[in-house]
Amino acid sequence: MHISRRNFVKLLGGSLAGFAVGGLGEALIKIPNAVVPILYKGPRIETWKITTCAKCPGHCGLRVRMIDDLPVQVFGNPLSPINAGGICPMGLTSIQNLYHPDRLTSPMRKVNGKFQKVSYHEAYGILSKALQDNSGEKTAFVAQAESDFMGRLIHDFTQSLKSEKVAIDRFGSKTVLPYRSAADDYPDFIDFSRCDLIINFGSQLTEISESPLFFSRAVNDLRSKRGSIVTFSPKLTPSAFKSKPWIPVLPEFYEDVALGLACVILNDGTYDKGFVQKNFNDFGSFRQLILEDYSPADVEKKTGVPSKDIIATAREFASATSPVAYFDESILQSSNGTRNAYAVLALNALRGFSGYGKLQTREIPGDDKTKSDAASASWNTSRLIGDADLKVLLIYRSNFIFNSPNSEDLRKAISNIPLVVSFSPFIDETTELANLIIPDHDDFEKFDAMSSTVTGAPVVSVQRPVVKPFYATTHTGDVLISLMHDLNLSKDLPYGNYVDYLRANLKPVYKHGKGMLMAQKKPTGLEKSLHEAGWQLTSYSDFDEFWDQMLKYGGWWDPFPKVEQFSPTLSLSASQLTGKGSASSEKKTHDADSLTLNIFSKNLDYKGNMLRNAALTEQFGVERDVYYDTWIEINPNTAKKLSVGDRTKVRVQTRRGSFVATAIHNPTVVPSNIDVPFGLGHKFTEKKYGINPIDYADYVFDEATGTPSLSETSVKIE
Amino acid sequence: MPKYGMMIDLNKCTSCQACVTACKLENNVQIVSEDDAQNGRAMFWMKMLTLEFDGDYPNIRPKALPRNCMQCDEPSCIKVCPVRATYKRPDGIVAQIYPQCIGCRYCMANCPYTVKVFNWDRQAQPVQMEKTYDPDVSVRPKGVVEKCTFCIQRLQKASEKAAVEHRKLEPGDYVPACVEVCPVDAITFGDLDDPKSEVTKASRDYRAFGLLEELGTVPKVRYLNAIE
Amino acid sequence: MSYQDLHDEDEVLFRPIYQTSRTFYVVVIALAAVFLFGLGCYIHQLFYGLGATGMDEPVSWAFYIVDFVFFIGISHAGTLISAILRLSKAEWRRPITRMAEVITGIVLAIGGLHPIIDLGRPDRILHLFERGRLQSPLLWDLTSVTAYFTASTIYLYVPMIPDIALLRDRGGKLHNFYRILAWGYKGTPRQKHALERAINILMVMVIPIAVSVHTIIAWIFGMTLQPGWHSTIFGPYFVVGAIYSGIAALVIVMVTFRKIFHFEDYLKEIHFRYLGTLLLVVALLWTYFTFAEFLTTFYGHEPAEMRVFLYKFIGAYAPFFWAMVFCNFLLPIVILSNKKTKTIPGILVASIGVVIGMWLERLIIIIPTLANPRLPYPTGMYVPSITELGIAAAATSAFVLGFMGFSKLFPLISIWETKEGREHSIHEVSMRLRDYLPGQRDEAGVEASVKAEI
Repeated sequence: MHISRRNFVKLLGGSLAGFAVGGLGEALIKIPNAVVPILYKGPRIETWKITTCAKCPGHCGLRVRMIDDLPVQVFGNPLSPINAGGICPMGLTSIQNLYHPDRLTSPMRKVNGKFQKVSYHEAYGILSKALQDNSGEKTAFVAQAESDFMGRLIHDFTQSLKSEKVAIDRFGSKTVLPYRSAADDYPDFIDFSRCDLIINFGSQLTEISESPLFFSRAVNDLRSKRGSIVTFSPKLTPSAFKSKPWIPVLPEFYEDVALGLACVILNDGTYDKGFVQKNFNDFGSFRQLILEDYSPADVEKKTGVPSKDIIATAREFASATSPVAYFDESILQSSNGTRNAYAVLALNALRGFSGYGKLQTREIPGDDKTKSDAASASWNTSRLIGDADLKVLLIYRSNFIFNSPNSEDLRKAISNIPLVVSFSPFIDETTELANLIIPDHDDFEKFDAMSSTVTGAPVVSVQRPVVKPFYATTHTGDVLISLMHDLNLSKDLPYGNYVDYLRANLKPVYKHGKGMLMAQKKPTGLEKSLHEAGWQLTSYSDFDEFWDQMLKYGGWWDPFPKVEQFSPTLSLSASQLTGKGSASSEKKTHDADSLTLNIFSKNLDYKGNMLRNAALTEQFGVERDVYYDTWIEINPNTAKKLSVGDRTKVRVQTRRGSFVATAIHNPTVVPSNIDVPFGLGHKFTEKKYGINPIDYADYVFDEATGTPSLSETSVKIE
Repeated sequence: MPKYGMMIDLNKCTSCQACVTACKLENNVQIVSEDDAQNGRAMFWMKMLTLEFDGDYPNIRPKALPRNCMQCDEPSCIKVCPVRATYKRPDGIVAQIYPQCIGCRYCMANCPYTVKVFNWDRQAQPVQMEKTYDPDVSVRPKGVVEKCTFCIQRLQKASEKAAVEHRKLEPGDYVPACVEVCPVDAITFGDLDDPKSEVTKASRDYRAFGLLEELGTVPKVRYLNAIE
Repeated sequence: MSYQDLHDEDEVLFRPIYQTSRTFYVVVIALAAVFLFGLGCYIHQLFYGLGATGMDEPVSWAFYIVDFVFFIGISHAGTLISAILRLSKAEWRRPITRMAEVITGIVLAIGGLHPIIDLGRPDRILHLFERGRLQSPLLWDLTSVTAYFTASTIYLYVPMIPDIALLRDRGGKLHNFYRILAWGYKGTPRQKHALERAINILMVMVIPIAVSVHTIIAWIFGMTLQPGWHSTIFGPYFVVGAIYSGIAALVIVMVTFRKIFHFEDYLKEIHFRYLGTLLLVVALLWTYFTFAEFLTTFYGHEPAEMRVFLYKFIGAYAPFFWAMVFCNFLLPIVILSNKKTKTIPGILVASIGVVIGMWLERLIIIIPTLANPRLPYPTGMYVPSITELGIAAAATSAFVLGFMGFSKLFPLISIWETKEGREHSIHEVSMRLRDYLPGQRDEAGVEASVKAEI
C-alpha cells in the first residue's frame, strides 16, 4: 500500500507536531511499515491489554500497547506484584518475536533432509500414529516450560503414555532435587520481610533467577534496610555489584566454602541447636566430618578463598537474625553441583533455615510443583545418548542442543530416533534435527497461566492472546490434549482443550475466595484489615466472570497469605557431602599459562533463546563495546603476563578446539579466569554472530541433574 | 513552565539495561549494520558506561552509569549549531529538529558527554523492528544527528490528553520510557522547578552529583552516588 | 610604454601559454583520472551517506576537516605573503607574488568545498543562509572564507590586468577572452595610477581578512569545551601554522615551475634563500607556539587534557606526532640554519617536510581530541576509508590541475611587474636607500651614480 509523504503528514496531524517530518524527498524519509496500513485504514485508536511475559521464569506482568488492535510496544504492568511496572530488556523486545520473519507459519515435515509445509491434519496424523505405536518407554519428552501449568500438562501427558523419560526444564525445577534427596520439604520463597543477610552462591539474582525483577527490587530493599549480601561467584556480575563483599571463587568450590563457613559456626557453637537436634538427622557425624576436614585454613588451601573472609562471613551469618544461604540452578553448573547444593543446605540448617518462608495454604496452585518437578529431575537429556529404545522424541521449546556441551553426541543420538517432533515456533539448533514441526503460537497469541510464590505470596499470572494467531500455528497444549483424547490415554479427561484445562486448574483459586485480582495496588489500612478479617477484596458472581477478570487484569494474587517458617527435616549423609572423595584432590593442577574458561550468562538472553531479536543482539555487547562478536574478558595483569593487548584478537585454545575472540581487559575478572559470554553463536540464523562457548567446553556434568559445568574447562591463549 | 529533570540513583541501579532497550525501541533508533556497529557507529541514546572502576581487585566495582542526554541547562551543543537544528525548549528539554539538521556534526564535537549520535547511513531495518516502531516518533533519515529528547512525544501525548480533559499536566502524566521501565525505580523524573516534586527532593540529597559539572553545562540529568 | 613594439626580453614567460608539450597532456589525463575517481567516491558517499567514510563515534570529524584546515592554511601562502612583501616593498617579491596568489585562489576553492563534502545533508546547505545562526563559529567561518575567497580572487585578478592586456595585444585564439578580462587596459598613466591605488587598497585589506580566516578556523575548535581544543593560543597558532605551510607550498610550486618552464633566470637562488630565511623564522615561531601549547597542558595536568596529551605523545597517535615534530621542527631547522644545505634542493626538501608535517599537525589537533572523550568510552583507532582517501587525492590533483590550467592561460610570473622592476626600481630603491642614510638627499647625484653603475 502506497502512501505519499503529504498524506502521511496529514494523517499524523497534530500529534506529531514536535516531530515535523518535513525535509526533502520521499526516498529519504522512511515510514514504518507497520504504521502505513494502520494509518491508512484505522482510526489509530490506542488500547492497552494486560498479559504475562513467558520469556523467563519471572512471570512479569505486561502492558501491551495496541494501535488499532496490533501490538506495537510492551511495558511492565504496574499492578503486578512481581515486577511492579518494571520490565527487562528481554520482556521489552519479546514483541519482536511475534513479527519475526523467521517464524514458522505452518507445520513442517522433513522430507529428504528438507522441511516442507504440511497441513496440521497430516502432521497431527503422523504424530498420533507414532505415539499409538510407541507408547511407554519408547517416547521421550523434552520441554522448557516456563509455565508450570503447561509443565504439569506435559507431565500428565507422559504419565498417561507411561513414559518416565520426561525432562521439563524450568528454572527452579532442578534445584528441587537436592531438597528432595536431603530434606523432606523445599522452601517457597526468601522471607525478605525478615531476612537481613543473603549469602549468595553464584546466583545471578537480578539477572537470571526465578524472578529477576522481583529480586532486583527485593535486593535494593534489603540493602536499604542495612541488610547485606555476600556473593561467592566466579565473575563480578551485575548481581554481584550489589553485594559486599564479593568473593571470587569457582563454582566447583562452593561446596568447600559452604562447609568451611559451617565449620566456623560449628567451632563457635553459634548454630541453632534446637533446630539441629530436632531436624538434622545424624548431626554428630556431620559435625565431626566438617570439623575434621573443612577448617578455614584447609578451605583456603583448596579454594583460594582467604580464611579471614570465610571466618568473617561465617560470623556474620551466625549473628544475623534471619540469614539465607541462597542457591539456585547456577550452583549446579559444576561437576559437583548437587553436592554444592547439599553443602549450602547444611549451612542453612545450622541457622534453622530462618530466612526462608513457606506458604501455609495448600489449595493454591503453585504449591503443586513437586509432581512435575520430581519427574523432571529423574531423567535428563544426556540420557538420550545411547538410548536405543527411543522411537519418538517430543521437544517443546527447548533448545538443549545449543545449551549442552555434548551437542555432537546428542545430535548423533537424535538422528537415530525415527520420529523427532518439535513444537518450537522457530527453527533453532534443536528444531533443525526434528522430522516434524508443529509450531506453537507466539506468547502474544496464546492462553497460558503460570504461578509463582517467589514474592512470598501466591501469584497466578495469566497470559492471554492480544492478537489472533497470525499463522497456521497450534497451541501445543491443545495438541497434547487432543492426543490424549484420541489415543484414549486417560479416561474421562474433564477438558477438551488447553483453555478448559487452565480453567479447571484455576477453579481452586476461584473457590479459595481470598486474594485479589491485579486490578489495584496492594491494599493498606482499612482494606487490609478487612481482608485479614476474611472479607473478599474482589467479588465475582461465577467462575466465568472470575476468568474474564483474570484475563482482563492479568492475574490473581493473595497479598496477605498465611506463611510459616520453613523448617524441613534434613538427613545428609557423609557421602552426599563429600561424594567420591574430596573435590579438590581429583582437581588437576593448572600449569602456569593455562586458565579456566568461565562461561557467563547475561540478562539479555535466557537459555540461548532470545538472541534472534535484532535489538538484543545489537545490545548484547554494548557495555564492552563489542558488537555481533564474541569477546573474552581477561584481567589486565594476566593479559600483561600473556602480552595480550586490550581489544586485540586472540585465539582461545581448549581441548575441543579453538576460537578467535576480541580480548577485553577487565580488572574485575578473576586473574586465573577467562570470561566468555554465552548466547551468541546461533547457527540457524542467516548470519552467524560470534561463537557458542559451550561448544568448546569439556563434557563435565553434575551427574544427578545433568547440568553442564560452565567453568571447568582449561584454556590457553595464543 | 516546568523544568524537566531526571535523577538516576546509582545505588538502586542494577545495570540491567532495560532503559537502554526501552529507549531504543521507544524512539525507533536505527539498528545499524554489523560492520557499522563494529566500527563504533552503534546508535544508543541511552547507554551504560561500565569502563571505569572503583577500588582494587577483588574489592572492585565498575562505576556503572546509565547515560542519556544530560539535557544541560547551558547546552554546549545548541551554542554551536549553525542552523538551529538543536534548541532548548522553554520547559528545559534540549530538542532536535531533524528536518533542519545539515549534518555538520559540530554539536557532536562540542558535546562534552558525547551523547549525540549520527545516522551515518540508513540500513534496512529488521522486519520485526519496523513492525514494532513507535508510531509517534518519526524515523530519521541518513545524515542527521539525533539524541535523547526525554521522549518528547510522550509529553506531547500527555499534554494533549490533559488538554482534552481540561486539566493541567500533573506529575506522573509524563515520564520518559527509561523511567517507566526501570525495574527498581532508580530513575526519578519530574519538574525541577516544583519544590515538592520527587526529583527536586532527590536532587537535594547529599549524594547528588552531575557529570562534568565543572564545565558549567548545568546538566539536568543528575545522579545519586552509590553508597559503598 | 607602448605594447606594440614590445621586445621579447621576457619571452620565456609567455612560452608556457603558447607551447604545450606531450608530457603536459599525459599528466593532465592522469590527474583527471584521479580527480574523476575522487568524484566517483563523493557521488557514492552522497547516495550511501557518510557511512562510506571511516568516521565513527566519537571521531565524528576526520579527514575532510583535516584537509579543510590544511588547505585553508596553505592558502595563506599567497595572499598574506604577497601582500606583506608588497607592503614592505621587498623588491625580490616581483617574480613570486603571482604564483603565491594563484595558490591562494585554487586552494581556497578546494578547501572551501571540504566542509560541504563533510556535511551529512549537503542538500540542506541553503539552511545556512535561510536559518543560519550567527552565534555559531561555523557561520563565522562561512562568512570569512567567502570574504577571503572574494578578496583574494580580486587580489589575484587586479595585478594581472596589465599582463592580460599584453596577452590580448598578442592576439591568438583566446583574443576575445583576454579582451573581456583586460577591461580596456591600455597602460595610460591614469589607468596605471588607478591600478596601483587598487592594488594598494587591496593588499592592506586582504591582510586582516587572511588573518581572520585562520583565526576563525582555529576558533571552530577553540570555542568548544573539548580537551586539547579549548585554548586561547589556537587563533595565532593556526595563523602561524598557516603561513608556515603556505611558504613551504609556495617554495614547492616555485621549484616545480622553475624546472618545468625554465624560469631559472627569474627565480634565482637568492629568492629561495630569502624564502628559506622566512621559512626558518616561521618554523621557530611555530615551534615556540607548539612548545607553549604542550607545556601548559602538561604542567596543568588536567586529567582529560592529559588523556589527549598522552594519546599524542605515547599513545596511538605517537607515530604521527613524532613524525610531525621531525618534519616541522628538526628537518627544516637543521637544513635552513646550515649554509651548506640551504640550497634550492635543500629548501625544497625542507618545504616538502613542512607541508607533510603541517598536514600531520592538523590531523593531530583534530583526531586525538575526538578520540578521547571526557567520559569513559572505549576509544578506537580512526582509519580513513577509500572514499576519504580518494577525495583527498582528488583534491590534491585538482590543485595541480588548477595550476596547470592557469599556466596555460596566464603568465605565472608577473610580466609587467618584472618590467617595472627593471625600469624603475633600481632608481627607486637607490632613492629610498639614500633616504635611510644620513646626509642630504641629492637627487641629481644619485641619478648620476646610478647611471654610472649601469
